[in-house]
Amino acid sequence: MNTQTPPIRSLAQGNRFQRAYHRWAQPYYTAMPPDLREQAEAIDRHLYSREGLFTWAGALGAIVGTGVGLRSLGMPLGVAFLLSGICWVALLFGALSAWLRPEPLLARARRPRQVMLFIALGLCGAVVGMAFGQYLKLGYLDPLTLLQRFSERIAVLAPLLLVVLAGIGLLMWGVARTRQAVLQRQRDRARLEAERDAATAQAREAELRLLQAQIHPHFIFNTLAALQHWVDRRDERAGPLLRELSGFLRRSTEMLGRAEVSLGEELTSVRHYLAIMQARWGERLRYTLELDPALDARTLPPGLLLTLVENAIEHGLAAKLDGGNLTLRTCPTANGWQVQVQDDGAGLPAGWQEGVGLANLRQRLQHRFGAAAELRLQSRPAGGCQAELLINETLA
Amino acid sequence: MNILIADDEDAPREQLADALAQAWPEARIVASARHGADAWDQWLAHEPEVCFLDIRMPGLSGIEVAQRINGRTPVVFITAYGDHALAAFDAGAVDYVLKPVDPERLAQAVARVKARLQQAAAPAQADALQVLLAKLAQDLHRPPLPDVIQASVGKEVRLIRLADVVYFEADTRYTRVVYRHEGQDADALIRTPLKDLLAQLDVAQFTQVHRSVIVRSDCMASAVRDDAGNMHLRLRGREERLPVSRQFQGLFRAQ
Repeated sequence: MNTQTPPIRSLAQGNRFQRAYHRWAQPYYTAMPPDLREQAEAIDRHLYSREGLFTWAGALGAIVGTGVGLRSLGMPLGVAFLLSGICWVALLFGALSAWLRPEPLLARARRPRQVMLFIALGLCGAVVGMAFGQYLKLGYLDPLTLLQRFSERIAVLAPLLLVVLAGIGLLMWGVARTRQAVLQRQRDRARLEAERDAATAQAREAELRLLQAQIHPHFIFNTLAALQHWVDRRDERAGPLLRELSGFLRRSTEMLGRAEVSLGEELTSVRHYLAIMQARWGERLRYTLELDPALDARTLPPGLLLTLVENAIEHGLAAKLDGGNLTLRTCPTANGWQVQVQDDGAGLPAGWQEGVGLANLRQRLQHRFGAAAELRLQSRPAGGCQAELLINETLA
Repeated sequence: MNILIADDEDAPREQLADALAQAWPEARIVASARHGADAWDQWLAHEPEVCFLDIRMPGLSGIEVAQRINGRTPVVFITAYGDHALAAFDAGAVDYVLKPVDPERLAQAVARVKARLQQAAAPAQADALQVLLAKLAQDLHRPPLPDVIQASVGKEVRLIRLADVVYFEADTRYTRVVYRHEGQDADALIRTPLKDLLAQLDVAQFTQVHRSVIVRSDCMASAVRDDAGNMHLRLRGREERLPVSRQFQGLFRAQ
């Protein structure tokens, strides 16, 4: 078997005949969708090249063979070859067009009136053709003989013609149906692949942005400013803050590239973050953790809870002159588990819309849990904001 | 040389104070504010000659305080890396120093401020600065403004719609709210200090005319200057006159 594929030569680079054909076909090619165009060009490359000669010879053989066969059945020579030619050309081109563009053909087949009209038109053509033939032969028209000859011929030809036409029609319909199913499958697969690729790319991008958000320069440098001051002053708060910051950064970098972490690991990150903010803000940040240790082994995409807590602090409590309270709660639910982050800060502004950060979270949740995860964000009646993450394990 | 510094976190604020003591020994920190509204109030009270403002602060941001100062005092912003506002500062319109404060960089900023104090800023430059600050202020996250304030009168808690308020006046430890209620004049005391209230009011609707007075803009009728150079504000359909302090007299100028 030849493992080396020869380079594909377009008809445009072929001999004069091929180039002429390509010029003629160009407008048809450009009107086709890309995948169809590729197939049409491949078929044309075959038909209008040396290897195509065998195909043509085969077609010619079929026409001659059928013609001879019909002649031997008692049909006049001209009629036999005409019929054979029409049938084979119709069959070949019909099948080809059914292969390349099944949809329009099937659409036409769904309208039987059009098919009947087509047959009627063919019969009229036959009558006119015979009348013209008689006129050429006799120099005048003899309607009576014509009608008689026509009814004789039609008795022989009509069943044959009908059978042949029905056969061609059925064949084309079959080819078109098969082809349509194949094309549909291809399209479905391509669409699914594209969707999957897009989802993966989005999730990866979301992960990266999350990491950037976590080790946000603003957060890092503000923490370093406090640290610098306490080191300069030999303040004993410097040591613990440095330890928390190291712990936080180590966790954040370890999350890089991981698809999911346990709830327990995520909560460790959150604890580091809260300890850092508490060191910086002092009395301005008051927080309560109400955690159910039984849920620690549950998994989720990294950084989700941390982002919710950061949002509560950065957007909720940072805007308040005297800070506020934050409550983080994990608890089992009837069908899974949930996390709540509550603050009594600024709340959601009027006409508030979800930003990039939250859309990012939703994407990651969707990617990991599908319909099993729900993220709700709402203003609390007493002021402030509540973020709720619900995981339904019966759907996961 | 009197300076005001503002940062909502204690450690960076103290660090800045220490660093300034080194970089500018003859300067004296007259006010050390914990949030933007506090910084503005202290500016009105002390009229410092230079301000060092953190950008992200509750109440009013450093940008908003600078807008109110309106070029009357040089401002140096202190900011952590990552503030998107930084790009605009690189144009040289205002000076900024990054946190944690680097003594050399701070010394540079101080030298530049000293140079700027020598020569009065051209008005065109001040206008350009205001335009820049307005642009920066748009990007800041603002908590929602309330449309009702709660005041306790005896055993009753009154819900006063901001739309009914005529003016707010600082009254020792409280703030007096003067408002119209069903066609009647009424007043009540609230615990929120006036300077904190300022951050919760829409600047398009309320105008501060004194460190201790904020008036609904469309209630103002006329500003009257007396022989001693003091200014009073008359209100539409009301008897009382409200003081306009020197710092706000620029608001009232005949066109």
